[in-house]
Formats: sequence, structure tokens, C-alpha cells
Amino acid sequence: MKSISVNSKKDRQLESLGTVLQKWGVFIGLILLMLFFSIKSRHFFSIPNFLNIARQTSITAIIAVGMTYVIIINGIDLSVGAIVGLAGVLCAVFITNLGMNPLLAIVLVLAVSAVIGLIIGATVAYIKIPPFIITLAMQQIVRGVAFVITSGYPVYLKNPLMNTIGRGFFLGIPTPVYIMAVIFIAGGFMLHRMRLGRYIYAVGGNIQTARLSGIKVERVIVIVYILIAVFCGISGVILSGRLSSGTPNAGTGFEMDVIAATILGGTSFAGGEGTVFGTLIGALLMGVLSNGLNIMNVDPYIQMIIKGFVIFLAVFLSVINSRKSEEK
Amino acid sequence: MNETTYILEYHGITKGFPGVQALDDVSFKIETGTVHALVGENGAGKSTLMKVTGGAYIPEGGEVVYKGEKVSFLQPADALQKGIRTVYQELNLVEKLKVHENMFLGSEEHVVLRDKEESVKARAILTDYGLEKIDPRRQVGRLSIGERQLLEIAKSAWANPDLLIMDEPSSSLSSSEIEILFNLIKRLRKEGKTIIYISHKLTEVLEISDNITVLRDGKHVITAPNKEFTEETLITHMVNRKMGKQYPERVSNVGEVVLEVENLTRAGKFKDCSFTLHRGEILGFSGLMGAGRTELMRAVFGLDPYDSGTIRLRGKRVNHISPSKAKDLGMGFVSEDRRLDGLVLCRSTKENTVLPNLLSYSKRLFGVINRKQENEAVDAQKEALNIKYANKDHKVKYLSGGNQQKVILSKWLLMEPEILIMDEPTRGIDVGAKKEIYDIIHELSLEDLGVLLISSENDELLGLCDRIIVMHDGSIEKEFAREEANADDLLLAAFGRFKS
Ligand SMILES: Nc1ncnc2c1ncn2[C@@H]1O[C@H](COP(=O)(O)OP(=O)(O)OP(=O)(O)O)[C@@H](O)[C@H]1O
Ligand SMILES: [Mg+2]
Repeated sequence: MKSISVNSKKDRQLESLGTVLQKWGVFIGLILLMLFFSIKSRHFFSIPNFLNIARQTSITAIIAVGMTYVIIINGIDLSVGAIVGLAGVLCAVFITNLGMNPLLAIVLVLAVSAVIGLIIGATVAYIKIPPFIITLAMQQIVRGVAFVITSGYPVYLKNPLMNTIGRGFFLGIPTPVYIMAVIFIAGGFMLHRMRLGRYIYAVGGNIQTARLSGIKVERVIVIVYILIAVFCGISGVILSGRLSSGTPNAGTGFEMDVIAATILGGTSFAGGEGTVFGTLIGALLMGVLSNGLNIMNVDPYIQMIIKGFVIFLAVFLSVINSRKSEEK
Repeated sequence: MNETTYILEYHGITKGFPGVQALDDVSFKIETGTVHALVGENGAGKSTLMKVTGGAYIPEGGEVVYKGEKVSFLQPADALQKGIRTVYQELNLVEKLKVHENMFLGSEEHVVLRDKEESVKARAILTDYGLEKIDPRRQVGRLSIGERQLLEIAKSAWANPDLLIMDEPSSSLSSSEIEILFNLIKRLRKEGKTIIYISHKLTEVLEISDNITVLRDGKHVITAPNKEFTEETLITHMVNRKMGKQYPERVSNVGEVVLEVENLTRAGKFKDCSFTLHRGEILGFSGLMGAGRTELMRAVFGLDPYDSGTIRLRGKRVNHISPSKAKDLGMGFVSEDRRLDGLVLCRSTKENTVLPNLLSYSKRLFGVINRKQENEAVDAQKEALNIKYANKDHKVKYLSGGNQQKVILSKWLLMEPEILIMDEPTRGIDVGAKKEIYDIIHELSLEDLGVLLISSENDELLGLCDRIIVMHDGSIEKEFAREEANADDLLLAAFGRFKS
């Protein structure tokens, strides 16, 4: 049969401009935002401040990688902040109160997180309880456990390893930033280049097609919830190292930042679409925003309003944009 | 009216997508009050032209003249208001809502809905159109595909448009449903309406249409009155080459038994179904819509549960079958509904093609995908099935309907199954491509593939199968060997009235 004729060059250029805007919209937004803060405050544009932003962002960005998977498979996880809190508390209790080897303590903490993820994932996949509900419940349970364990007080945590993880530097760059980089690279590789990643997209795009294609969809769902819970555990360990304590209410409200970063990064709430790189940009955008606003001494309540608007705007633009590209 | 008037005129319509010129300077006219058929190969641009007409796409060049008035760059809402209605190839009903709710969606007469009143009205309309078998209070998700299609058509017809566009309305209809459709079309024509009818079933096209337009590769080939065409000349215009016989000369290659199904029963769906499939055999399943063929096959593949009975593969009993297990055992399943469970529409053609086969392309550490192998496999399938798309990384939803169907086929053929269940595999596929697919099925069967073929086109079953099983009302009614089967008996058996 005839081969298909190719459009003129001009058309293709036009087309690519459209897709560039769609793909890089948040990236451009990030750069504009950085430009704006650089002009407004001379404290903003400096290497130490950038490292500071990277370190602050890393704690939520790590979880956002997991949230990307979760939202791609049409799920949601509201329990992330609570798991961060419990992970930190357990870390402190294991090391300070029980005198455990810190490495072993960390492994145990991640194992506990994984079990929480397993429970959530299994409930979603097999019992088919909507993830919104089960993770809302899990948020309460996990946070409650963290408070019970500590009777509501922070547990002191002073340990060289934990110190390095939470507040150390290597070659002038904060340790958490390395951890974040590793998770983003590995997490991105998994999603885009490995079988599991493809399955995640397929399950999110059309779970019935995925099942019919012989994919064990339940297993994919469970793995995804385990992954995000483990990322929460890692984030909790870092946070407790940074705070030098296990605080039962650490991580409160993280779910908002994490979901916002993921959505800003272009992951579709309809499922089946999203990239880890986009999420990184989204997380950085959130980080730059709060850092810049802080530097400019904006009232925290006003900050909330601004952040809300930014999320609204980003989602609004992406919806408009994707609708346009459908109609092209 | 003696003088011909044209309700619609296309002048030089041009529309391209990245990498494809979907419409290239298309000009022709449609007479008022006629049934105008539009035919062409998969990807010829039929649906695109209709989307331009309905205002869903904006053409890059040319103009549409509607009732003597230039209407280029219509918006969908304008098109509706001017009396143009389109029943798109992809159905647009809300599955969770009931039939009557769907019918009046967007045109509810009261703020507080009157359920009763609506359903009574819906029933009256449906009965009027010969669709009394559809209960207005049922959920649309529970209707068969054919019923959904008819419902959508009835909904559009009821809106009383001057121009009704139907994009492959008959591809999922049974022969009795097609009769209902044709009666509806004839009635609308009598009322002075104009209908644009797209179909790959050329016999139908020749039966119902007044004029026919052929498109090929986005270009207009010919528009002429129905009587100037025969099936052969239509095909020649469509593919621009001679085509051989539609069905391959069947050489039987029946080997040992590979699949045995015994007394399979699922309450309310099918009961006591037993059959065997041999290596290299093509076993057809005929019957009316709702006879339980799809449900039976879904159970065999582990997609749906069954209550009792046994499934044996190569002599070994299979318990707790699931799709992943079935796949591991060498079974593939080409399902009947592209959008429901055939494709992941928001992902690329490549990802869709390799989905059931990823394991073979990711044998290295922890399932890292070998992109070179994967790309080669997808390209080979594109070549083998002659699938038309510009870029394998583009979303599969941008492919034309028939090409999507080919992607589904290719994803299972790539797996090299031993048993392939095919539920209406040639739905929406053009005549040329159908022949290619028949040839492929035939050749694979010579290489010992066992095929379970469900089809509502008895021609297809008669041309291809070694044996044909007819189902009626959830049970196996009759089995015919190739030699003894004929169209009349198949139909009688499908109605449960065959007496030997
Ligand atoms: N939204 C889109 N984006 C990119 N390409 C598209 C889009 N819609 C259609 N195409 C391409 O335009 C060409 C014409 O498609 P169209 O759907 O009009 O074909 P068709 O004649 O209706 O075929 P079929 O009989 O298979 O339904 C195809 O090559 C298709 O891949
Ligand atoms: Mg089409």
C-alpha cells in the first residue's frame, strides 16, 4: 500500500512548538519563577541557597516518585505524611531507646513501611476498597501509632550515621540530595525502561486491557503501594536525622506537597500518563516557590494561598493544553 | 423536487496530522435526501472527513458548503444546531447511566428529573424505531455492543437532524440488527433526511446507498450513483489493484486435540458447553448476539469465572485459570471491544503491541527492556499486517479504527500462541486487510495454531473454518463440519430451529 505522505517542514515545526510548550510548560514556569525571585531578592540566586532548596525539596521529592506511580495507576495515597512520621519515630526508638545498630534500625524501619504499603496495596487490589478511603484510614492509624509509641513527645536521636544522612555533606552537597538523585534516576529508569514500568502505565491506562494481556494487575498495584511506602520510610529516616529526633507529627501535610509536585509535573489524574522527570521539575517548582516566598518574608498564610493558586493554574493550563492537542 | 439540490459540498478539504496527510484536496457533493455511502481502506480518511463535517476537526484548507452556505470552521455545537448529527465510530454513551438517561442527556426537560416519564417516553421512541428489545431502564453498560450502537443511532435520529452521519454503524451489529438499522435509514430517507453511511461491508453499502464516494490515501477517487458500481469495481477503486479471492483455499491441517472444554456452565450466561479444539484447526462459533459465545470464551481464557465444568489443555486439567495463566499456557485472546479491553488508548502503538510479550524482550536483569528487540518486533508486525501509522511512539488512539484492530491482532500474533481465541477479529477492517488477515489465520493454522473464531459474519466462518459450532441461548445448538455447513442452516441453528 501507499506510504503516508509527510507533512511540510513548517507544519512539523509548528507541531513541535506545541508539544514543547506542553512538555516543558512547568520547566519554563520554574525558570521564570527563579528569574522573578532573583530579581526580587539578592539572597535568592546563590549556590548555598540552591543547595538549601535541593535539600529541603529532597524529603518530599523522594515520595513524589512513588506518588507518580500511584497516580499513574489511578490511585492516591494520603497516608504518606503519617508514614514519614512513624518511620522517624521508629528510627529514634530503635536507636536511642533500644540501642540498636543504626543500619539495622534503618532496614527495620523500611521493612515496617513496606508492610504498611503491602496492607494498603492488598486492600486496594484484592478487596477493591478505593485508595482514597483506605489511605485516609491508614493515615489516622499510622499517625496514631506514632503518637502512642512516643506518648506524644519527640524522641531524641543523636547518632553519627543518622547525622550524616540528615545533615551531612559530601563534596559540598547535602547527603539527602544524593539520596534523592539516586531515587529519581533509579525510579525513572524503572518506570521508563523496565517491564514493571510498562505494566504500571498499562494498568493505569486501561486495567481491563492489562488484565487481558496477561498482566497480574493486582500484583502491580501492590508493588506500587509498597514502593511509595518505602520511599516514605526513607524520607522519614532522613527527616529524623535532620531533626535529630523522632517526632510523631513530622511529615504532617506532606501529602499535599507531594501530590502537588506530581500533578505539576504533568502526571495525569486520569491515569496512564506521567513521567518521573516531570515530577522532579514539579517538586523543584514547589521548593523554589516556598523558598523564594520565605526569603521575601511573605506571610505563611499568604504563602498557602499563593501555592494553591499555582497548583490551580498549572492544572488548568495542562488541561487546556491537552484538550487542544486532542482536537488538533 | 426535480432539480438536484446538494445538502453538503466539500471543496478541496485538506487536513493533516503529524506525519500523515489524512485528507488531501477532497471535493465532492452530497445530494439532499439520499443515502450517501463513503468507503475506503483503513486510514483512508473517512472518519477524519466526518469529524471535519461535524466540527470536531478544523480543516487546514478548503471549505464545507452546507445547504448552500459556507460553513468552514464549524464548531461542534454549531453543527448540531444546524441539524448535523454524527454517530461516531467510537461510541459515546455513559455506561453507568440508564438507557433513558443517556437518551435525554443534555436535553432533559425538567430540572428535577422525572424518571418514570422519561423512561416511558424513551420506550415509545425505541419502539417506534423497532428497538423494543432494549429496556429503557437498563444500565447502558449492560447492553450488548450492538444494542449500544443501535441506541446511539436512535438517540441521534430522534434529535431529528437534516443530515445524519453514521461512521461504521453496522460493524458490531448482527444481521437482524442490521435489518432494524436499514429500516430506520429507509424511513429517514423517506422523511427527506440525508444520511452519510460509512462501512467496510460492501454488500451492505450496495444495498442501502443511493450514491457512493470512494476515498483512497486521503484523496477523493470517485463519486457516482450506486448502480454504476459492483463489489469488484468498488474494491478496485479502494485499493487501486486487483485483489485475489477473499478466502484462502482451505487446506485442512487438523492434528491432535489441544483444548478440551467439558460441560462448562455459568449461570445465566452459558450452560453445559463442551467442545474440543485440535492443533491447526480453525473452529468457528456462530450465533446471534447474546448467544453466550463471548462469555464462554472469556471464561475459557480466565477473564470471567465459571460455575462448573472442566478445561483441559494438552490433556492436562487446568484449574483456576486466569488470563496470565492462560497466556503462559500459550493462549491468546483478541477481544471484541477495542476500547474496553483491547487497547490502552493513552499509550503508544509500540507499548500496546508488545504488552503481552514484554517478558520476551526483558530477559536481562530485573526486566530491563531491550529496546532494539522491541522496536524490531513492532516494525516487523507493522510490515506483516500492513498497519498504517506515522510513528510507533504516538498514542494508539490516533490510529484509524481498522488500524487499531490490527494492532490488537499483532500483539497476540507476536506472542506466537498455540491457541488463539478471536472475537470478531475483522470488525471495522477493510476488505483488503480482511483478506490479509484471513490469509494470516490460515497460514498460522498450517503451522499448528488452533483458532477459536467467533464471528457474526457467517461468510467468514464458512470461508475459513474446519468446523462451525452454533450457539443458541447459552448452549451449543449444533455442530457442522466444513462440508455440511451452509448459510441457511447456520442461521436456522442460531435461532434454535434447525432440525436435521
Ligand atoms: N487525532 C489524530 N492524530 C494523528 N493522526 C490521526 C488522528 N486522527 C486520524 N489520524 C490519522 O489519519 C489517517 C486517517 O484516519 P481516519 O480515522 O480518517 O481513517 P478511516 O478512513 O476512518 O479508517 P478506518 O476505516 O480504519 O476507520 C490515519 O492514518 C490516522 O492514523
Ligand atoms: Mg474510521
